Amino acid sequence: MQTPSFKGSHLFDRLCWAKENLDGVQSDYRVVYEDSVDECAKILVPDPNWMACALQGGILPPVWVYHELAKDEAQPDFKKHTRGYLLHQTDPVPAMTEEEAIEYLIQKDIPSHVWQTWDEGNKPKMVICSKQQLPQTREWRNSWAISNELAAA
Amino acid sequence: MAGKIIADTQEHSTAGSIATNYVVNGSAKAKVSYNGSSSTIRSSFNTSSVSDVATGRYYWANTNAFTDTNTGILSGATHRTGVQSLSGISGRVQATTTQWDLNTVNNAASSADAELGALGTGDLA
Repeated sequence: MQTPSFKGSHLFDRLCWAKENLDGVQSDYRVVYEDSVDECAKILVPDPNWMACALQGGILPPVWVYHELAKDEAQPDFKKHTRGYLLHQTDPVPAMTEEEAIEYLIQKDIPSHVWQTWDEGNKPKMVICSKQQLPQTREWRNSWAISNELAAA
Repeated sequence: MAGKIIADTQEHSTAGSIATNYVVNGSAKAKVSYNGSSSTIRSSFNTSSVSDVATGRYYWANTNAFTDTNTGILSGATHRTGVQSLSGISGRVQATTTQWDLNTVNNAASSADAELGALGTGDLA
């Protein structure tokens, strides 16, 4: 199905179109990351409808838009977004592969200090794996950590 | 054919009327249904991911950001997935304008994995 020309249209309207016209895509990928030495490993699960948008192309804004909004939000006097138009008026990104979509999602939903320095230190702070590689039970969930046997690149 | 109805008020024949800004501002802008035991998103809208953070704790990320972190209101429900006596979900104030911090607890107020459904309301950026 061809994506309509969404340039300049509200992102929410694009998501409505996608919900009506695209089938969700359950990704097998998971992203395991550690953003604090005091907390257990976290596992990012991609959303099927979002993944469908990413694979379709022409719907999602570039990831730098979210970074710009995050900069605004980090200001001490932040009250509300005044540059929300970036989400709606920036040209949407073209179709991505599933792997490219995961990279986008990492940069959107995982703290930047993790993905920017994921391979610095004694072991990786972030690992992309398949769902089957995760523990199959929830036992000791609050102690889960990335294996020390994984070498940083 | 696409069209547009512009109206400030909707009126029912017997039940009264409501200003349409109540509809616009009061509608949910994001939703998610998530199985915390199997780490699977089953149904969603305006959602980019859910992160399994710890037992009974999840980060829910949105695609269309909200305008701020103060006006979003969360409602939700849980039901049992092998964990007894789950009593509820608490959505703390939004961590960011694109992320909610969800916590499901049992009757003893301890965090517990759950199947959860959540709605996010508020103004979109």
